[in-house]
Amino acid sequence: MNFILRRLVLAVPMLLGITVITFVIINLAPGDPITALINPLEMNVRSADEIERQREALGLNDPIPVRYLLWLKELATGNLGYSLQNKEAVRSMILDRLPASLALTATALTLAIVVGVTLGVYSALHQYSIFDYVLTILTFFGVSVPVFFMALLGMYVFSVRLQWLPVFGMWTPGEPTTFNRDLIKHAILPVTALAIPQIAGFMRYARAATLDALGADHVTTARAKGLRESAVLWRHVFRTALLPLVTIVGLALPHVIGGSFVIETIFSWPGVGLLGYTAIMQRDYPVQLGIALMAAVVVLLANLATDVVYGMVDPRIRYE
Amino acid sequence: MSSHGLDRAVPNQAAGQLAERTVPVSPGRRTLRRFLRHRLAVTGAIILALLTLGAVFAPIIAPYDPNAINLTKISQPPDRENWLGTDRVGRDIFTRVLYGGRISLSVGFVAVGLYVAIGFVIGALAGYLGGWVDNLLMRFTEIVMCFPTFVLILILVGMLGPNIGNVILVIGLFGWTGVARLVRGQVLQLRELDFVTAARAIGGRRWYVMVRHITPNLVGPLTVAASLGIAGAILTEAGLSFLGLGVTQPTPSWGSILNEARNPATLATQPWLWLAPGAAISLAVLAANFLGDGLRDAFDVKSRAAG
Repeated sequence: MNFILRRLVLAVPMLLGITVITFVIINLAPGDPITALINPLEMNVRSADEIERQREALGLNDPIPVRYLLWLKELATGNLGYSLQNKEAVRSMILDRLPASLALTATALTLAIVVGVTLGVYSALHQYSIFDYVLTILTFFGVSVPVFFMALLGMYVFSVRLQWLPVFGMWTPGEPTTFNRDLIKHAILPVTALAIPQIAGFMRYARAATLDALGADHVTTARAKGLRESAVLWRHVFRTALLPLVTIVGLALPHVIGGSFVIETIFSWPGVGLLGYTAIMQRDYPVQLGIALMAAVVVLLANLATDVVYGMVDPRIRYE
Repeated sequence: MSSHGLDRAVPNQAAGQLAERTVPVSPGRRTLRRFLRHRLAVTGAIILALLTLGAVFAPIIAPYDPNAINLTKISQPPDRENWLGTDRVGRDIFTRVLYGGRISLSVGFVAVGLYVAIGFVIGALAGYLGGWVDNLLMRFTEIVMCFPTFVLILILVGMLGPNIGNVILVIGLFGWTGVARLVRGQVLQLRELDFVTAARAIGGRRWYVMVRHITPNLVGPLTVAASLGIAGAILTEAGLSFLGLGVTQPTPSWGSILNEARNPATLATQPWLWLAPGAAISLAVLAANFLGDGLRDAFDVKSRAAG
């Protein structure tokens, strides 16, 4: 449990580090950073004098470290500030769009893990076969062709030419916004485009790790004592090879979130990525930074979770 | 998106070495594979060189001025005069793709140069000094790694204003984490080796050992990381410009030409407008990835001995 506890304790300074970096970027943004914390609707009805008093009371005239602490205090209460565009609270804007993003990224990630690992393991078990060569070359394409180009190609072929799939949004206007056929049809292209580079990544990893495990001494021992090949593979090869996958998923997460910005923008998928892109184009800094902060915290928590899971399943790490 | 190749590619190396002794293969097959691998690397290098030459000599090769508007030839499909067609103000796409390479490739090279330098300094300091310096620098690296790099780059370029200098600077500022971890790991291994002990034993000072004995051994891994990094940086610039946040009109970059395809009508009716720059990006990134992969094999002493 030592390992897990250490990771948990370490997460606290890292969380603070994330807030420091975000605060530095907030201060790079043009304009007064903490005005974003005052509800702009209230600001209009107050006199300049009153606002100045408010600034003093809020500590806006304090030195930067003090302002950081004040900002952190607000953050701890869940106040991410207000949008400069529509005066809405950033937190509720993000929370509103989170389900759409989660549906997109979680589906893409799951698809990528299942397909990538299956193909990678198969490739390793048939090393040097034609299949292996073709897949290896394909993984190069998978990590090299930009997601947005893949998305455009997909749109052109399946939506414009063949007219099989819709181009924009999550549902056709008028359709019920539930989990239905319409949603699935809308999701196929964005999910696939987002998943392809990840499939390639997981495939490379699974192939290399399986090959690595196949050559390990304990596998030779397992074979030597006469174990059936299927038992050797399941119990000795796959277990060693695929355990670190937990960590790899954690490392892939920032890339998936970054990719979702592009994909949601192209397909007008009403998630956090599209919200973030719109905020960047409209110079709505509180929204941008709220999203960046939230994404970083999600990645941190996900990495923490993978570490904890890893510590629980791998005794070597637990007793390190 | 950006450092994808870098993060994932590492285990392949071990697999490459192990492959030789685990699965019995005929010598012919093995040669074929090695040949193919290096063929890919060579092909990658040639493609990158051609694209670079095309960009450098664009003014000589290109049949037109990249920004010359020709209203008599608006949105023409490819023909004998305009090999890749024209855009909505009659500019020649072939010319713009050639010139676009200047921006896209130089962003790739310069940004990667910048972040390899940052990553090298941070990684070398952490690995060589160890102790609290190492602890501090590595925790900082992990914190930066939590942020989705592409999102931070988008935000910062949005704040600083979209131009090529800012794009290079921001990619450089956030791309170094992978390199720092790589360098630190290598330094940790190297400093335990006998030749380093020997260098210290004859009275070599810290900096002397670092510069003369450790750094030369980092050239290989850094070259590999840089060529894979170029692939990532080209992708990032293309993504930014595609979203309208990198290089903006009228300056052509591969991403900014593709930006026009975000208009559904253009996407549907003028595929020549976005297929060519998209193919150019894919080709350049593919070439850089091939090159990096081949270089990794080439720099790997053990697998070189085996082959």
